[in-house]
Amino acid sequence: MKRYSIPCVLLLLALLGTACEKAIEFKGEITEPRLTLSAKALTGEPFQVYVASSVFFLHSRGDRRAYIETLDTLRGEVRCFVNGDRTSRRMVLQPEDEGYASYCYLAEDYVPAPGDHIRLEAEFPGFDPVWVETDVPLMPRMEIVSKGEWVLLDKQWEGESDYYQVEMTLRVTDDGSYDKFYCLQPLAVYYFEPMGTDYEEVLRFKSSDIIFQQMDASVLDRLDFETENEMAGSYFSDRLFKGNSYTFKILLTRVPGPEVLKKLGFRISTVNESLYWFDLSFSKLENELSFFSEGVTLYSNVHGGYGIFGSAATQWVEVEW
Amino acid sequence: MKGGWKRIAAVLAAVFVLWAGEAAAQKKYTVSGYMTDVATGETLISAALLERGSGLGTVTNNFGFYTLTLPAGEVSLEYSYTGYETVRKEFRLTCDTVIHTRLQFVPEMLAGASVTATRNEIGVRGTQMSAIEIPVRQIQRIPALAGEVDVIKAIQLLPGVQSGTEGSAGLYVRGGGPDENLLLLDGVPIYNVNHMMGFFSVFNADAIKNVTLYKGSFPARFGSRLSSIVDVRMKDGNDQEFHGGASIGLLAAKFNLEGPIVKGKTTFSVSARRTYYDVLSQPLIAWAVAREAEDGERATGGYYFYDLNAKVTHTFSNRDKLYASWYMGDDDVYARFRTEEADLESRFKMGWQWGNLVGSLRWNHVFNPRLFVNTTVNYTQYRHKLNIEMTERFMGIDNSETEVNMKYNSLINDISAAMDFEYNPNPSHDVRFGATAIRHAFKPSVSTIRFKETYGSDQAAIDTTFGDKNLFTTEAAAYLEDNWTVTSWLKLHAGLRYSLYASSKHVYHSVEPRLSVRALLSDDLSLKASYAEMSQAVHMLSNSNISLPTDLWVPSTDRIEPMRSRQTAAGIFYTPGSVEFSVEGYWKTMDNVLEYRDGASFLGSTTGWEDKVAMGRGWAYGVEFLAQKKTGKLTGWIGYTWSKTMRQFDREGNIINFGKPFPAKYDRRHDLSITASYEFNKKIDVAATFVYGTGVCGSLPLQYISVIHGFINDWEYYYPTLPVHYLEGRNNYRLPSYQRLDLGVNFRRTFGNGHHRTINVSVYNAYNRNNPFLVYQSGNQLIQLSIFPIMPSLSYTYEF
Repeated sequence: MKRYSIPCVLLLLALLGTACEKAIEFKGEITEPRLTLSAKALTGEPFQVYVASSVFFLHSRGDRRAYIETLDTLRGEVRCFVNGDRTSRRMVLQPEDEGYASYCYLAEDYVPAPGDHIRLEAEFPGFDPVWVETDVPLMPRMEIVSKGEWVLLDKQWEGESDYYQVEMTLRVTDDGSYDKFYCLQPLAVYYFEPMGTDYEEVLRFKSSDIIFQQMDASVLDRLDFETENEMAGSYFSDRLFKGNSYTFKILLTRVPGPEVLKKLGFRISTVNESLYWFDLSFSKLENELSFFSEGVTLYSNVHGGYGIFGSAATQWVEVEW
Repeated sequence: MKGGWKRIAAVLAAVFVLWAGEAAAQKKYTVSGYMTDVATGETLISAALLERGSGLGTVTNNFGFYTLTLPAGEVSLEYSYTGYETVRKEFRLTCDTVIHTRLQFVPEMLAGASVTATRNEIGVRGTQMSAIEIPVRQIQRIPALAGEVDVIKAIQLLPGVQSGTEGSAGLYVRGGGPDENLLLLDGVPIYNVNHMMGFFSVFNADAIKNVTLYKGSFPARFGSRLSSIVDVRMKDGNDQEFHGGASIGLLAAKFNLEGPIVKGKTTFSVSARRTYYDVLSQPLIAWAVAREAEDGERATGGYYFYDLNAKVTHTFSNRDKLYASWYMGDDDVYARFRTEEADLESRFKMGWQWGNLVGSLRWNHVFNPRLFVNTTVNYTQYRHKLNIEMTERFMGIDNSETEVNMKYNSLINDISAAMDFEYNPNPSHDVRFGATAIRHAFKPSVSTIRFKETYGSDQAAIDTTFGDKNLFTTEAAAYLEDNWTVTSWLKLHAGLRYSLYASSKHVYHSVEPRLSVRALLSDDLSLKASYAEMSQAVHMLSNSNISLPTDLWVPSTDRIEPMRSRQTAAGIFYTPGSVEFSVEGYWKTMDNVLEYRDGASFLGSTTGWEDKVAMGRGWAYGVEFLAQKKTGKLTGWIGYTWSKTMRQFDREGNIINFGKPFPAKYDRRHDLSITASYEFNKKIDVAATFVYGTGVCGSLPLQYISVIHGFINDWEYYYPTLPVHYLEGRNNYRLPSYQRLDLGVNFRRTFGNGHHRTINVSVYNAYNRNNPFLVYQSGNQLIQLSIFPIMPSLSYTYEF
């Protein structure tokens, strides 16, 4: 009996501890590639549209060519309509963008302007045609109401330039047109001695104002392990002050000192809802933490395919110091 | 809240008017007492008393106490309980009378063809719907994983209840989550009922007397969870003689002992269980390390869990009884590695423990034959602890030493007190009222990191603690309910519960009406309908379908509101003979349910859990069919559920899936379970269980796409587009279906001295179906991980 007991125990333990893995057939609706179309209509900037094919997740994604090799660029076409009229020249392919896993098409004679309604259509042999529309928002209106004292920060290491904290009071005036999102980013251009050249940097800031707290995007900042509630740009919506002015305070937490600072200001943008949701989901996708994290749903508004078409109108508000 | 007070006032006024009208009726007296098992003295829960002349009746409460008010005159009482011989008493009722009745268990009665008409509130004649009582004897016959009989696994086989993934002990009741079930052990809530990642529950079947599941139509005495109440009652202990048993199986060994401390007065019941997987695995680990590791390396590790249940019952008099019950259980995973070389010494030590501690003191007092009170003081604790220690020492020219110690702690402590009254003013009314108060202390998640590095004479050190603050909250509730026999065919169970929940700055109120109506169409056919509102102030955060000890219990706070639900159900109940049939449909809505936001996890952030979750709503609807046979040689049930469960998070600041509805993780369209056991003779019985369920949902990115970057961080990227995986929607993929057949056979023998032995042979997953536990992508393949192939098991039980 004894001679059998050890193998028996081992066999039973092996049974208990055995996890079985096997490849299974995927059963789902969508397995074929679709067209991916993505673009941002930004006021004052050339209008470019990126086109690629999607790659089914069980096919290889390592080769960047997989996203474009099935696209027949000779017979395929991207069309752009602005306020109902097709742009005067056909959108042209910029072949140098192949390396970015997308084909880039440029509307050479069109620069988005506030209030434009843009429709994009794309058709490529072997793919369902796709279309998507957006409205370019109106320009934001923001002014600097007041500036606080410049408070010198302790230097972190010897030889470092001086850095300061500055509190600013800002006022945004909303046109009341529709629910929209604002994106605020402080920027500084300063002389960066180690490189011997000017350097542009997005500055971090803090604010306890309610407009930064009650949004889905606000959670992004608090989930960031590194920044301790500092924001490198943040969204807020006009739902609290639609059609009115709203004044709020922010604290710039680390501004290069006046001896190197060339330019200081804010990039304030009105962003349409599609671009806001895409931006939010894209940021979460980039910051996915671990195996245990919930999956991130990426926002897509392209009919018949995948991708994003959003728009924003941006204004530069300079700080004088 | 204004509307809430009006609702309370209206219900109270209605109750008062009805009572006043009935008070003027003829002279009445009350018969009361306890119903117990004649051999063990164990109180019988839900045993029936019927007065044959008037057709009036009642059932015993959770303490075996009954009270029935009857018109004065000749009465013919019939005491009955499934599997027990019926006792009849006929006399002239001229005053309030106390009758303690002892019933004789007759196994042949269970094997018999029919049962006496039961007054059980859950059957055809009662108002209670959406509830099921499972006899523990039936649970013990169901073939079990590794031979370990489990209450929760048995409940998962009932219609309207779904399990999570393979092996999970989670309960998903009528579209609710696993945290929406109030699991009561002798009336005390248990937070984490899972052992071994959810493969087993903390309920040791040897210590249990009775199990009742409520899925809806909740009586007002129950609250604080949205979806179900699982009321598990422990054995009191034999008051006549000592009995016990021991069992040994593949995974665990168990023993139980019960008997009188003072005969007829004080009893005790003790049971214990421990797995010995760690003991068995030690030689394997030693063998594997010896084979793979280099000289100087040693390793050990293991896993075990244990349970201890104890209960002492003391009867002071016919009017007073005191119960003290206690449960303690822990899971422990441990691993140690040690390397010793000429110039290096390294040690790694990991300990991961989680478990419950539950204690309760309960006093039953009979004020008079019409008024019974149960006073309870409870304590419940759930703790989860992870400790990792690493030390590395280099012995060279520059001696260096690195020490790292990481700890993660999570804890809940509840202290509660409750008084529950039962009042039987006249034959038509069974009134219950009471109040309860709970003080919660939460330590949701605290991490400590200590780091010390010594290099020659230099030293660097970090000692930091971060995580959520301790939270103290208070919950209180008061309720009133009346089970009212309006006419011989119409019965109502109306109730109202008021709940109050106070977090640090906020007080939340909830008024929860409950109503059940039964229309008896014939002796064996009834229609029932019910409406119930519930609220829940504690939430469990979980990233996975399996039950991990890292699942975090958190309270409602100033930002996170208590969950609320409204459930409407209707059904038809038919008991033509020994088989009970029921068909029920339900519609349930839930508010303030929580889900992790996209990309969030319980790991990796110093900020609070409130930022990681969003509040939303859910709805579920379905139809359940049950055919259950509790007596005869063939017993068991067939349960089938068709259901749909959805979630939507579309409140500003709480958006998930861009505000669009999505299926809940545990949404299952079809769920079928068939459980049957057949007793060939007193020596052999066989049992089989078959389960089929539509696959559960998961999130799986099905395409890779190349897109532009976002707007806000555009400046961070050099290339204009980036390939990313594209997840179209939450829970967009359905795992393959789940199906399983389990078989079991019991060989029983009774010795001349009255002792019994049982040899159980079971086969779990008899046709070796690879059921999905997890599905993931690996290269160009979709891989399914299954954890339980065909698993034969053997156990030996000896009872004296």
